[in-house]
Amino acid sequence: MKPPLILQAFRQPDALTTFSLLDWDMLLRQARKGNLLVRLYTLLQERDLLQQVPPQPREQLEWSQAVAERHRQSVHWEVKQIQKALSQVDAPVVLLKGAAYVLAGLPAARGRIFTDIDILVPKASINQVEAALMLHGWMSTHHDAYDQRYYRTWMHELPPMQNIRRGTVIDVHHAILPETAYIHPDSSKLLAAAQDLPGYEGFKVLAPSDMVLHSAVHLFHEGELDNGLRDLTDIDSLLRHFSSHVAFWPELIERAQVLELSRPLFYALRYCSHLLHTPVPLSAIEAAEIAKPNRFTLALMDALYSRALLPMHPSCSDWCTDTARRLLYLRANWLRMPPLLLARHLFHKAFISPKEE
Amino acid sequence: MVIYNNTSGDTHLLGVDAAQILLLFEQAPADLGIVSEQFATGFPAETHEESTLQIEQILLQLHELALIEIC
Amino acid sequence: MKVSALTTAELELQLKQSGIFIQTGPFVTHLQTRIASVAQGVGLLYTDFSLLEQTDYADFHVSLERPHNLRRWFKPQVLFRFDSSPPFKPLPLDQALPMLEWGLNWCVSSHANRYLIIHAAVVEKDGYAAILPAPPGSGKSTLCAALVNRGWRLLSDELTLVRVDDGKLIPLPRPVSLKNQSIDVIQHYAPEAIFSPKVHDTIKGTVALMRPPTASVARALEPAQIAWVIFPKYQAGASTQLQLLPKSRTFMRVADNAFNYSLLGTKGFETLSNLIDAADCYDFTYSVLDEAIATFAALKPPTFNT
Repeated sequence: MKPPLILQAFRQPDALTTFSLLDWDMLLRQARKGNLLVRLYTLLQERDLLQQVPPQPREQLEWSQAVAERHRQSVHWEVKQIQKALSQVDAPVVLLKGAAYVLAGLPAARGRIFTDIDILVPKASINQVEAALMLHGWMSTHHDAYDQRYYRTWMHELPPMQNIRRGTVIDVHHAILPETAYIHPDSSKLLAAAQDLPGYEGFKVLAPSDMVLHSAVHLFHEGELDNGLRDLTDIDSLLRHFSSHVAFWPELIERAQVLELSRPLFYALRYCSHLLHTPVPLSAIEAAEIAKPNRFTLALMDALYSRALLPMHPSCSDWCTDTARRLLYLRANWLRMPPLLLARHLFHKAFISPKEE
Repeated sequence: MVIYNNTSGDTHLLGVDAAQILLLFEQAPADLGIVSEQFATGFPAETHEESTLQIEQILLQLHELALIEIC
Repeated sequence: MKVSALTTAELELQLKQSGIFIQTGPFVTHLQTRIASVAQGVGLLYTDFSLLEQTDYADFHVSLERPHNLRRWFKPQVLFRFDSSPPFKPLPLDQALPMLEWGLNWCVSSHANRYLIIHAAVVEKDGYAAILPAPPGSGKSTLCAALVNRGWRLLSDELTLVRVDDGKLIPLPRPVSLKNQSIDVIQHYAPEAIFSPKVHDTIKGTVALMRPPTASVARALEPAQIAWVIFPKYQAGASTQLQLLPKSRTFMRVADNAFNYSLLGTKGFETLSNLIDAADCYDFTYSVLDEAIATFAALKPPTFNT
């Protein structure tokens, strides 16, 4: 069976010029579901292929691109506002994920549209950071007492805070995994290695290896994979970009061990190369295999991720895609907290928390 | 006058005075003294102090909207 | 081929099977549905629209379905799907036709960012177009329906598309949605106009859809040039009054009525500035339709001051 068009596009962008109008129609539908339209546009633009796209799909790609410039602007603006709000807080602030890619000018920022800004701060400063943000117009979004306690006791972040004037959301983390998770990447090591961001005093981004590892742990401990392929293309882009440094791969493997993140890295490299054909040196693949799960687990994970990482479009789904997503949701929660706590949490969410409807 | 701030992405409707002051800043940075000298005559205020006060308020508002930066 | 070339049974069958690829303004929509009332509505209201022979590409793939749940049996519902996922909650089945219109508006307003999209009616005569932005309840659609039954060309009654590249107004003629008393008013004012059955108890009250004039649909690919921005306001008993508005205030009011002004950033600002610069802007109060039409007929195109 041929791989879905969206994977063909990212593996071999040049082959897009041979796509029929019918292929384009389906490709755009898959890309839209996966939040990948702007990234697809960028892919074509970088290779100077836009003019070879038939006019109708090109028009759609341009619709999605029209918002990209404004998005970049608003991320810069929002970070400036956060910086202003935190200017009196004496602690390093590390930008994570999308905002970090934009501010550090990484290729992974191109064509990535997101809404929330994520930051990492030392745990000892988190109350101070929260107070400063509240003073400048950010309010906690979760008012339910259970949710508040859930976040503050067990999670690695404050409940999301929303700016009352602009409606923008910030997630303040003190670690990259919940307190209750079975692995604890040491946040102080991440903070210590973080790199300064010129023009944004006091603000930092994670070091290259840490950025990849954070992206990997985020994706492979995540329960909802609606943007799974988008997140995998982030990792793909980071790997391609950073691998121009000779020492990158061995450093990445070693750093994963230090931070207890070898398993998520193994999955990231595996599915990047399987699904997107990311060029990963054989030596790195072999080195990452120290964290390989047993044969049966691996076969199961392959079966689950090869389905759940695709966009949620009928054309990318078979009869077990829904089950794969549900199982990975359970797995993610399992990794987040011990079984009893998990049972309590899911029970509360299912029967006690107020429903939206 | 309608102004678009391309850093914040906000659009503002400015009065004539504020718009003129903003245009002055577009040419070069200025301090309160320079601005009030340029504009004092155009204000209906009675005294120099009053017009300076009005200009100061406009400057503060422009700063609030991130259209100028007061250092 | 036009929709009118199909019999109701043929249209129903095609909608049920592979769906139809219908051209509305610059967009191609692929519509599928098994709901007979929708097929009848499409046959009635879209009769002059073109169906595409080439069925391998559409800008929007949409369907109207009855959701698979228990309510199917006692309170039937309808669900609008945009490429398999529903952007809205289901509505009672008898609202299927209005829901199609709201859904198609949503498709355009949340995707087509090549245009500055203003929540406004837009009509044209002798090469000059008037944009009528207005909050619901201001009588915008009533006035629009009256104008297009008196010789004005319908570009749209809901979505004004301003092409960012050149500031041209791009037509999107589709059925005109009328609410509550306006339905009777227009049916009385233009007895020859063709209407869908009334649908009661929607979130907008009672709604009926009017078939767009054949001539407007025929010219759907012909852009228009802005001449006026007019904020209509129906006020019972009021005398007809056209009042010039300063451009700066008009700008802010139109921006407030635009779906993607802020998203487009600098491009949105430039497009809107050029639009307002090229237009004369008015507040317009009326209570008698004939007088309103006369006022519009007497509008002079703006003189260009350089």
